[in-house]
Order: sequence, then C-alpha cells, then structure tokens
Amino acid sequence: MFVRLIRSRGVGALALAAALLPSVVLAQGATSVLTGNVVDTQTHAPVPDVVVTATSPSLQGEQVVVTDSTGLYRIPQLPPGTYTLRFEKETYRPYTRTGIDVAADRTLRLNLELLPEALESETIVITGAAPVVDVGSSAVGATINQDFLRNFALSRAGGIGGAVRSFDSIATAAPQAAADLYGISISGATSPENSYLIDGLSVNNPAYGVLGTPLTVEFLDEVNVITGGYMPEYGRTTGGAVSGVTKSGGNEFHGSVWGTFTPGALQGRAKTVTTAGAVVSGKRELYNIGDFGATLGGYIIKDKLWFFAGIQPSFTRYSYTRQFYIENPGQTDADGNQAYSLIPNSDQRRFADEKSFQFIGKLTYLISSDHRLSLTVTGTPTTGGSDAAFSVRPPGGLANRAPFALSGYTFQTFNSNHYLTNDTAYDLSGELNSSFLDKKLLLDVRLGWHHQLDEGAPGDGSGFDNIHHLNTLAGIPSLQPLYVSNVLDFEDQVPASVRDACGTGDRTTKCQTTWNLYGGPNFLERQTLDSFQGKATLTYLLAALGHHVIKAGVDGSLSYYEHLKTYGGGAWYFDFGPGGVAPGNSLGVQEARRFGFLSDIDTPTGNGILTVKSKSVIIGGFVQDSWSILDKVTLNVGLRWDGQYLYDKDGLLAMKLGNEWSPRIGFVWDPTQQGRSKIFANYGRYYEAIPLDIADRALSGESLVIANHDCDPRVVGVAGCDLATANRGSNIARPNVKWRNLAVDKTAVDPNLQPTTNDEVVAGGEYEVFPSARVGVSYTYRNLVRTIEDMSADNGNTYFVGNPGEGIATSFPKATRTYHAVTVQFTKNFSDLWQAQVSYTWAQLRGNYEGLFVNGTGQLDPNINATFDLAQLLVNQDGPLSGDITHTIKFFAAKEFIVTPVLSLTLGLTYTGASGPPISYTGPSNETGYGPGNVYILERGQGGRLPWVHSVDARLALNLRLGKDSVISVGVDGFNLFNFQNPIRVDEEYVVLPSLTGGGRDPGPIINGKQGSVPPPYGANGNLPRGGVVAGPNGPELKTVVLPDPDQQPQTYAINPNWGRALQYQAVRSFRFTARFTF
Amino acid sequence: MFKPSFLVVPLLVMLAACGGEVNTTCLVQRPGLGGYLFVMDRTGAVTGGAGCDDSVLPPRLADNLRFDKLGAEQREVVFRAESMLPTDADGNPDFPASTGDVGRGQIGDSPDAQGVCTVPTFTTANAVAALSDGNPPNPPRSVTLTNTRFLSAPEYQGSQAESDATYTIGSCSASYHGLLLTPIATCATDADCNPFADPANGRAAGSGVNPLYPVSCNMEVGALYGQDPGTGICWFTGSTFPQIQK
Repeated sequence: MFVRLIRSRGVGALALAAALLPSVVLAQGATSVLTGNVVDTQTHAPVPDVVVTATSPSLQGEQVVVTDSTGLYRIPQLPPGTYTLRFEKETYRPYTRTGIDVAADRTLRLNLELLPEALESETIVITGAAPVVDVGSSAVGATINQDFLRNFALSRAGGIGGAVRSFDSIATAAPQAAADLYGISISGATSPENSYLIDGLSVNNPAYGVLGTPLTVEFLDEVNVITGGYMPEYGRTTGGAVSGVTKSGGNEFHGSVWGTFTPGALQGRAKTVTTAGAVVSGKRELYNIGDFGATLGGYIIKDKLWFFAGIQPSFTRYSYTRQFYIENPGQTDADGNQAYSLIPNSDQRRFADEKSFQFIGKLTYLISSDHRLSLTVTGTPTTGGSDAAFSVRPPGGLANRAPFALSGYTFQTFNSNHYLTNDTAYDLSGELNSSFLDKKLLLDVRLGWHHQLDEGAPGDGSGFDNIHHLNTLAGIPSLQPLYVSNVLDFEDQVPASVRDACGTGDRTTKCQTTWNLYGGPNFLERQTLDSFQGKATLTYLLAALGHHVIKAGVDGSLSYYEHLKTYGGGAWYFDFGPGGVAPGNSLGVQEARRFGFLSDIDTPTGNGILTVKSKSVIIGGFVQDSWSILDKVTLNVGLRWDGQYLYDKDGLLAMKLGNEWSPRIGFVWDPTQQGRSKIFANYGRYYEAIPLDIADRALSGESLVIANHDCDPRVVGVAGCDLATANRGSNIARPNVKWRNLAVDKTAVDPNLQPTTNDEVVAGGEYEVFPSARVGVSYTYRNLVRTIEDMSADNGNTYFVGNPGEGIATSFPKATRTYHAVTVQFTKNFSDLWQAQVSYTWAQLRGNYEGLFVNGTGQLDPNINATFDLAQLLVNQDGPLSGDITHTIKFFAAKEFIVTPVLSLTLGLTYTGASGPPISYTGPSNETGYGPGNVYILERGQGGRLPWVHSVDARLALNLRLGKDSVISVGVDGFNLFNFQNPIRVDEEYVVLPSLTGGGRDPGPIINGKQGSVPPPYGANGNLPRGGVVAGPNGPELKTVVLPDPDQQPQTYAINPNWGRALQYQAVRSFRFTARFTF
Repeated sequence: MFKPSFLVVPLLVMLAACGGEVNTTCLVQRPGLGGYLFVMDRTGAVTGGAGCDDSVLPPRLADNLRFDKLGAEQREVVFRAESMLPTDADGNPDFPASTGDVGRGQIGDSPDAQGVCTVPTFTTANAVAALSDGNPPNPPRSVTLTNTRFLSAPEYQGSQAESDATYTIGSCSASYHGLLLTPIATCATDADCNPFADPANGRAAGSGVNPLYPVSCNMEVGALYGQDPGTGICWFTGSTFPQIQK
C-alpha cells in the first residue's frame, strides 16, 4: 500500500497507517460492507467504542456503528458508491477517510491506527491508494463498472447485446467468458446454465434458462461476472453468475440523455458464404441499429425517499438479399463442381425489423437508520416484424440472440418465415434491509416477480384463432420438400427474370434445388412465464478466535409456464413429391407435426393447437461462516441444500430432485498481511436449476397424429387432408389403419433420478504490483459428475428421462464434460486518467456433453436435447467440445487526455484474440430419423481447428465539461477495425447422402477413428480425403470414399464437397456513433 | 426484534407442498415398436367337440399382439393379433376390411404398488375379411384377452406383460396363459440379446430388450414364431411374471 503523508490544518482527521483491504463476499442483492479493525497507534491494542460514521451521495442519511471489544467495526447493507468514513472517540484524534469506492456486493476492509490526542499537536491526514487485492474471498470473477463502460467499446452492434446493449453482453470482458449462441458461456458451460440477476432477482427465462430480461447497461451501475468459487448464497447454477445492479437516486438530481446509431452503410465488406451446387445464394447484413434514451435520479425527500427512472427506445433492421443462378450444362467450376451463371436482375431484398422500449422505475426509502426499503420495476417490451418485413427472431428461436439464419430467407418462401413477434419481460422486486443489535444482526428480505411473454404469430396479424381459415396466413400450412425439383415448384415470389430462365424449356433439368419450407408459416407459439421469488438471509457477527460472519438463509421460487403451440394451418407437412408416398399420388405428404390424439381408430381429434401449463417449485437453504482466523487467514465454509419439483400439465408431480447438498469450502491467505497479496483455493459442488421446457414437452407429453396423404394442404387445408385423403398404413404394423399416434405418453422418469451436478476447484494468487494495479494467476477445474437427459433404448420409439450411465440408463455412456483453465491477468483500475486489463487464458474442454443446447443444430431443449437420445449415436463423441478454445487473449487499455480544463479526449483500445474450436467429421442418421450431424464418423475434433479470430476495437470520445457534474460527450466506437473475416463456423457434414452401395445406408462410426490412422478398407491412406468432383462414366460425379455403415459393413459414399467450407464468418467492421449529456 | 419462526414457517409450507411421490402413468408400447411377442401355454383341454385337438389349438402358441391407447385420457387400450389378420391367396397377411379384429379394454391411471397396470378384460377380437377379398374368414377365428397386466413402472415402460387368453377357431376353443415382451429381437446367439451396443464388434445398437430383463436366445420360441432354422428370439429365461434380473 502506498501512503502519502500530507500536513494540513483544520481537517481534523488523523491516522498513521490505514490499510484498505477489499474483500469480496458475494452477498445476495446490492448490499456491501465496510469493516475493519481499529488499534491504538502507540500500544497497538484494540480500541473499543470508537464511533464510526459512513456517509455517501449514494446513501440516504448516514450509518453509525461502534467498534467492539476487539476493535472491530462493521457497517453492512451499503449500496455501491463512494464513501467517507469518520472515526471518533474521546482521547483520540478524529480520523476521516474519503474516496472509498465500494462496488456492489463487496466487503471492504479498512484497518487503521488511531492517534491519541496527547501524542501530537498537528493534524495529519493520511491518504493512501486503496489496495486492490481482494483478501476476503476466493470467488473468481470481474466487475464491469461505469469507468469500464465509459472507456471501452463494448456490446458490439449486432452482437448478443442487440440494440439495447443488454447487461450480459458486456460480460465478455471477463476472462473465461465468451459469447455463445444464446448468451455468455462461462468456464466452459453453456449460457442457459448461468444465473442472471438484477438487484438479486433471478431474471432467467424459467422455461429455457437463458436470459429473460435483456436490460440495458444504461440503467445499471455495474455488472458483476462471477465465474467460480462463490459461497453457498449463490446456488443452482452449473455455469456462472451475471449480476446487474441498478442505479439509484441521490440527494442531488443526476441523469443522462443519450443516443447511439450504427449505420449499416459503414460496415465492412462481408465475405460471401459460397456453397457448391446452389441455385440461390444469399447475404445478411446489418442495415442500421440504434437507441436513445434518458435517465433521471434524485430525491423526493432528501435523505429519506429517492427515485431513479429511465427510458430507452431502440430499433434494429437487418437486410436479407438473395440472387438466383442457373446451371451451365456440362460445365464445372474451378473446384470441379457444376458451374452456374447468375441470372440477371434476380436480386431480391427484404428487411427484418425489431423495436424495443425499455423502462425502469426505482424508489429507495429509508424507514429509519436500521431499516431501508427499495422497490424496482423494469420492462423490456420488444416487437418484431410487420406486413412486409420479417421479425428478427422467429418462433422456435425466440431465445436466439442473433437474427435468424440466412437460409431462412434464401431457401424459404416469405410466407413460411413471416411472423410478428412480441417478447416482453416485466420485473418487480422489493428489498428490505434491516439491522439489529447495533448492526451485529442483519436481515435481508427480497420478494420479486419476473414475468415474460414471448410470442410468434403469423405475419399478417391473423393470430392463433385463424389456423383453419385458408384466406389468412395463419390458415396456410407449411411444407418441407424432401426431393429436388425446379425452384419454381417451391418458390412463387421470384423476379420475372428467374421465371423466364427457370420456367421455360425443360424444367426438369433447370434450376434444380430443394427448399427448406414453402407454403405458410411453420411453428407458431405463445409462451407466458411467471416466476415468483422470495429470499430471506440472516447475518450474525461473532467474535471467537478471530471474527465470524455467519449467514443463514432460505429462498424459493414458484414458476409457471403456459405454452400455446401450433403450426400454420394446424400442421406442418413433409412433402415427398408426386408419387412419393404411394404410387399415383399427385402430391404425397405426411404430417411432420400435428398436435392431436386418436379418440378412436382412425379418428384424429384436436384442432391442432396444444396448450400446456406446467410449473416448478424450487426451495433452498444455506448456512455459511466466513471465519477470519485470528484475523490472519479467512476460512469460508458453507453448506447449501436445494430441492426442485416439476409438475406436468395435469398438475401432478412429475420430477423430484430433493437431494441437492452443496458443500463449499475455501481459504484466503495474505502472505504480506498488508492487503497486498493473497493465495486462495476453493472447492464447491453445484447443481443445475432445471428449466421448465422439460415439464412442458417431455413430462407432459406432446401428442402428435400422423398419416400419409394425397392432397395439397395449401389448397384444401388440414380439414381437406384428413381421413378421406389419407392412405392406408404403409406397413403391416398398421393394417387398414391410416392414422397413428406419436409421443403421446408422458415421458417416464427414472425413480432414482439424480440432479445435474458439477464439481469445481479454483485456486490462485494475486499481488499488488503498484497502486490500483494487481497481477494474478488462477486455475479453474470443473467436472460434470452427471447430467439429466432423455434417452431411448429402442431406437427412438419410446423415451425416458434419466442420468446417462446410471440408474435405468446403464446402457448409455455417462455424460462427461471436464474443463481446465489457467488465467494470467493484470488489472489496473481507473486512476491517474488511465486503466488497463490484460488477460491470457489457456483452457481445455473435453467430453461428450456440451450442455443445455446443441451447438451444431442450435437445438435449445435443456435436458431433453437430441444428443443422448440414442446410445449408438454417442460413439466417437468423446473429445474436444465446441467450446474448447485453447488460447484467449483480452487486452483493454484506456487513457483520458486532458486537452483543456474543460475538454478531454478518451481513447480506449481493445484487442481480443481466440484460437479456433475443433472441427469434426459428421454424417446424417436418417434411418433413426435424427437427420444431419448426428453420426461422428471419426472421433470428435479430428478435422483440425478453425483459425484464430482476432478483433481490434476502439472508442474515441470528446468530453466537454459544462459544470461540476455536467459533461457532453460525442464519440465513436469501432468494432473489428481491420475487418478480419475469419470463419467461425464450417460445414462438418462429411457425408450428406445415403451410401451408393448396400441399399442406401447411413454412414456409421469408425470406432475410435483418428485422421492419420484410419484403418483399411476405410478412407484413403489412413485419412478421410477432401471431397470434389471427378470424371465418371456418365459425366462429372462426386468423389467417393469407403466408410462403415451402422452395422460396420463397408459401403461407398459420396463425399460432401462443402465439408470444411465456411458457413459463417466473424462479424464485419462497424461503427457506432454516440452522443451523451450527463449531469 | 426478529423471530426465527418467520423464516421457518414459509420453508415448512413449501416443503409440505412439494412432498409426495412422483406421478407415473400406465404405459403400453405402441405398434411402431413391432408389437409384443406373446408366448403362451394352454391351461386346459381343447373344447368344442370332435376334431378339436392339439392340431387345431396346440399346447404352446406364439402370437404377435400390437397395442395402442386411445382417447384424451389415454385410458382405452386396443389390440390387434397377428394371428387374426386375414391372408391373401398365397397365405401372406393382408389388410383387414374393417376394424372388427380389434379388442378394446380400459386401463388404470397409474401403476399399483408393484408397478403393474391391469386391463381386466378386452372385447373379443374377431378375424375379419381381407380388403382384397371381401369373403368372411372360414372358419371364423377370435381371441379374447383377460387379466392383462403390464409392467408399467418407469424403468420398464410397459415392455413386459402377462395375460390370459382364449383362442377360438371355428367351434374349437382353448385357454392360454403366458408372458408378453417387446421389442421382438431375433438372434443367433445369446450375444445378440445383449442390450448394450458393441459397435467394435459390428453391433451398432443393442437388442432393444430392457437390460433389467433376464433373456437368452431361445430357438424353440423362434421356431414357434415361424423363424427360419437357426434364428431364435430373445426370450425370458423364466416363466413367471415379472421376469426381472436380481
């Protein structure tokens, strides 16, 4: 610690040595603590009965305590802010310490020595920079505060934060945190496994586990990212915790007005995704994105009743364009594939739109010096789509943070992807902080309600009530063709040039393609979610062989999920083409999904709409002790218990997880005993909070009816594709029966089901190298003990829910996921006009279980993904997982340059670099019905790795100070300044077609196969060769390779020429312009 | 001053609300699995007069029964027996012209304490004319199931059952009792009945038979079910219900 002695008159404060020792005890809610020991500078004996007073612009009134017999004082339940502490006692010189920055959920330790009055006649003020080493906690994480938000370009436009710049998007600044498809991956886990909190209220989506309230950073004071090592107060997460603390009012009025705009016209040029053998190509670009808003905080009654309010409208528009091509007969391109020519004037463009309006209102009421009440309400209503525009996120992908995939425009009709969306979250929470026994006994009580509505309805506004009215978009079913044909057979909205080129002459050889979907809208849904939460925590300070901070608490939540699901026209059809189902059929179709049941043989019943109501009850309790042993070493010990109970659509208990005991133990030791260093270690067991999707789909059953038909459902509707047009069963299993049931039963659950369990060890050390700066190294180990998944032992006919490898699922391999990470980090807090944060992480993520969603397909069905459904598809799946990123570098450096006393320039530079994830050789499992990407031909990750991804970002802002607290800033954030365009996703399907021999089989796994040692007769020279086109006896044909089929018999397969080609590149360069007035 | 009871009371209330056993439903495997193999032994003599003997209704019989559940509450159970299916001129199974060959019964909501769900009686399933033929079966045939008990606990999912049955052909009738098992897995050796996949040795998938059932490759049952010589069926090693590995 650096101490600077200043002789000054009249200040009346004095001390000789003051050590400010920040220690982190991650409490629930926005409550922080200032604590420390006071000793006599002469005798070094503890000084009891010292009156300690805390004041702050963030604090209503003042908080006063006295030191105990050991000289310890403790001021709890403080909101974040900058504090002044004053120490007074007769016969001692008063001492005042200013500028103590207290972040949320922190305990700062300020030890000091008081000078007896008789000792000196001068007043001495000691100032010193606060030590930055957290010596009280073994929790690992990062805090992104206002300094960081002001100085760096964060939350890239078009990234997961969206136009609102949601608070979780800035968590990527923390080591061991990275963006994934649905949010932030922390320490190798998937984003739905995290706990998302705003002022201690859980804002997870109760059905899917992802973030439910994407609240803007503009309403928040700071964001804490906790990556591991936390106390039992935090439970029910196998990922990390991302916790936002909202701003509050004060005894002075303050606020801001701002606007940001990112024009798509200034974006860098994007690399085009090329696919061999395509009649249509497409491009998706950000068109524009922006937000504006205002916040105001202040008082209604000074020191008694404060308020904070804010609004933020925002908008997003993406542009989707496509062009059409036609075959050049007999010609091949440079790669040896069929050559195509662009059809002139075939450009088509549509937009995807989304608008949001966020708001916040907060009251803080000081009932008395020992009791404070705060109430917060937030809202994030968001709508998407219009008459002529797509929504940014369609139903079935409402939880996506990115806009819908390009193929949803390129290879689909507009009507089949045209939706109006509504995603709204409202949160209401209240917190009571009370203290008793001179603040030795604390009570914190929180009650909250999280409400969500997520809806995807037909784009013409016809809603859910018109699915049987063919004259509305809602009434038109969608069809998925499973054959190749002329593009005009699927797409009816094409430019005239395409109609001329593809529609004249021999249509059977021109413009041959398949299509994702045509007809009307596909999946339609409305999700209504409510989570009622309550928590009460008692804290007691006990002096015994040092000091104990003993906490105990209970918490619980009651969550409800109502899910309306249907399809356009009431059903989605597979289209097998003319004669595809039975000879003579003009259009052979079969329901892919139609909700209903058989009331009698061949009697489908139900209107195609399924509404399911499910609920869960979660309760927990914990006890913990943070024991400062003789004030030398801190031992953190605790035990947590949780119980989770899920109820099906009939209100019956369907899943019970009641044995969730979570021990935690850790220590923190400061070798210097001066708050300049620490060595720490922590062990903890964690359990997953099971989202309600499993209760909605598996535990309640999702009854479907299916038949084969000879009809066009777009013309006659579902009613016309009913019994009269249904064919008899195509096999002896259903003689004379046209309709069959699927997935009717509630999925059976292993009676000895155990919860998803993760063990974690963190260890490391930190050292303060100079004021406000520290270096540290940490090691994190996480091991998945078991998980919950649905499985089928009979090739997909029936399913059950269990723990793979245990209980009734012993015929399945265990789910494994092991994470190791070493992080080296340097952090300099903002002081002397500059700050920096540099980290390097080496990590390894191995196993056969990715988490609560499947990276390859994007399926988000927590604990009932397709991954573990069939044991035979798990072969070769052990290896480096999609989140296995070996090297990650994050560099942040910012400086404020003073130009004149009222003008300054802020420059913040960021570099992030990450090595690439593994690439695999996969193939389809169509015989089981599971489709592409489900067979691992070689061991996972044998296809090499994607290249490094780099990004250089910068913020440049000009700040004009108008008054004491008033500043106007204008600036620009540049993301990916050098427009690096490395691929971030490639095609991993090595085989897409059935075998050319053996009757058309799926590919099978080469058991424990590795590139370089592929055994004969498979592959070529020990490897799986790349694909391409070779001259064949009948013209150009795809290269082939010998692979095993599922029965391990050698067969010949055509190699996918697109294997290894990029499917997606990193986001292009973009610029966000900002203007802000802060007062 | 706080009272600790206010923390304890809501916890106890929630604990009380969450207690209790997990609900389970009565499960019956659907036709898509290929049906249940019903291997039964005659429990008495063949009745019906002259000509009614072992050649008409033998002492040991095998049949394939396909079950399904109907209705909003999924309480109605229907079955169709392969032996009741009409045949074409070449003796191959043909499509029935009506659904009169389906037997119907009612099953309970949840398994009993032993994990069993019972259908006390089914209506009689009568063989009907073939769709391609139109002539009523001659002689008439029917089967009636009674006291059909499915092992429906979550770890078994209704894949094993036992039942009484009465088979009638013309004027001849006999009563049987036996076990039912699905899926019907053919085999050459006991290794083929292994429920665990063994891709390294060419078995991409397990037999599909529940690992908790003691089964072996049974050639006699294979012959009873009309398999080629050398092809057996994975069948229970014992004859009492339920057959569960200890």
